[in-house]
Amino acid sequence: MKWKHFLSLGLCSMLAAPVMADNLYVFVPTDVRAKAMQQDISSVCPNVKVTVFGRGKDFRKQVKKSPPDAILSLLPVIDRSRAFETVMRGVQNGFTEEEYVLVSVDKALDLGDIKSKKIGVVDLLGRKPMGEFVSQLFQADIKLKRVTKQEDLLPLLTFGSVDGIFVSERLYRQIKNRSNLNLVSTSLNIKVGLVSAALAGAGAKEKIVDCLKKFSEKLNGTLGVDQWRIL
Amino acid sequence: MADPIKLALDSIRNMALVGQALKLTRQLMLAALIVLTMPLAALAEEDKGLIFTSEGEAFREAVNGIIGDLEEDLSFVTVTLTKDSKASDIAKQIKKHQPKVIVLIENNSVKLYGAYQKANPEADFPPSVALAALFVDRFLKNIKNATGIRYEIPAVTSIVNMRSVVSKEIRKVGVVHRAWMKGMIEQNAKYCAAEGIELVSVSIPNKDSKLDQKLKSGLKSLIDKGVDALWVINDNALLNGKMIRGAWIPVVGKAKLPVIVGIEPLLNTKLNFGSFAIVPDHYALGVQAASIIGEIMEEDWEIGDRDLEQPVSVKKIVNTKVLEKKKVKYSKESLNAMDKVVNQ
Repeated sequence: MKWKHFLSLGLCSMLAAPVMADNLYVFVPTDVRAKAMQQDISSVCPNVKVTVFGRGKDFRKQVKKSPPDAILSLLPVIDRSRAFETVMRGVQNGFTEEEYVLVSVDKALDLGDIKSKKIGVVDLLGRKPMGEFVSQLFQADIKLKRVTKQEDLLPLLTFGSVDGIFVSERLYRQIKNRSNLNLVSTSLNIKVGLVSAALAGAGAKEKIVDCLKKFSEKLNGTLGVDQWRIL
Repeated sequence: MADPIKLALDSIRNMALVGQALKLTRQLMLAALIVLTMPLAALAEEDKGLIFTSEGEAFREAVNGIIGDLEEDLSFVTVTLTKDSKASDIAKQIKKHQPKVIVLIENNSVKLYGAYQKANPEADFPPSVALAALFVDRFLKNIKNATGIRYEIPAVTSIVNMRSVVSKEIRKVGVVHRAWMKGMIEQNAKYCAAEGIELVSVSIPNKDSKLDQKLKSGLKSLIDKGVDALWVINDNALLNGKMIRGAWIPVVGKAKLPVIVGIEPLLNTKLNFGSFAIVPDHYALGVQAASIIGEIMEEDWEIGDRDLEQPVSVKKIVNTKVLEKKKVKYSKESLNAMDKVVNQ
């Protein structure tokens, strides 16, 4: 009868052991601090171990050092993280991409002269990859001034450190609400993918999809989406 | 129970404010050097940067920002200086590492490097970038082939951040400053004006046996002029124990105004003084310096005619308890954009 004891003991241990949470790394530049966003996401996804990064550098370093089961970030970041496959796309007003503009003070920028201008961006990818990414979008070599936080873009304009900043139309509206500078935008016909979720393997898909579906309207708004589309 | 004024004063001292920065000049000839170097063999053929820094967590953060941002482009050797370090120690390190670029973190590094240049006028000076040094423009004037980032947070940055939290409209912000800071205040007023903010300033003498009384009457006159907030400059002549007890707390404590300070201990609830502390983000300051170094590198190690930059990134701390005591309404939702919220 001893084997029965061992079997029950084994079953009890399995039931008592904590369920291993899937890891989700989040890097989405917003005005909300990483700690606050981590609390928000963790509260709706208790079965997922959520880590929110405020800086792209820390995100990339940690993905390399300790790869997670899933990542949530802007599409250009996911595209560069080749080990992950996109499973969910954020949607805003029916689109999975958003328009980007150049924002300057007093006078719109002349796109014919863009190579001689210095443009401020939030660093998503690191020095060289970010330069390559933006130059590819503009089809021209662009001199970049990178900042670590979204809120640092406005001071770049205030102090004349750049000629313009490259931001989504949504972020332009937010900056305009915050500042009394005479900000003007230049349309570009450039679109960049919204926040998306990607997995390292198929295992965590159900849990991650459930997690994102539970995001509140406010949390989605912070991330710049209004719904999620499963691929 | 620790005295909050003492804590604030200790912090001001630790921040190496103006007085300390100037005193360091006299300490130039006292020596000793702690050197933290990377394995030299690995760097033999690479372009190298040489970082001179002082001891301290904030400065380490700045170093991390620089090295982290440029790790794929440039190797760095970091040398930690002490108050006993000498210009000759700088010379030894430069000779040893032959850097393409030099980074100077904190006033001691800037001053020692200036002394090194003065002592070696015939040497070739690679481009240098200074950061986390108070009133760095005063020192860089005498250093060849140098640029940098100012350490002082401009008023406009602090006010725009505060404005996003408090419910009331912020149109006029008051500041009391010593006469020698006139130029800096004018520049700040220009930036503020572009944001629709009037920076109302009161100048008091650089030295005066009754400086506390001058400060007190300056603060009172600003309140009488109907300012919507006060901006406190990190000037240790105006932020010592006598000034805090004799002028700031008696006047500012009673005023129903948000007060922006430049160091966190002045947010202590017991002081009933600062309600917002806007302080440098040292990691981001390092990344900003890395961006300058990257540009210099792309321009074949030429500094060109670049100006000193303003710091673009800050950390934001708010004391909601003090705001409530002063009956200043604020948006609770915007608190999640703060790096820290003090609420007791």
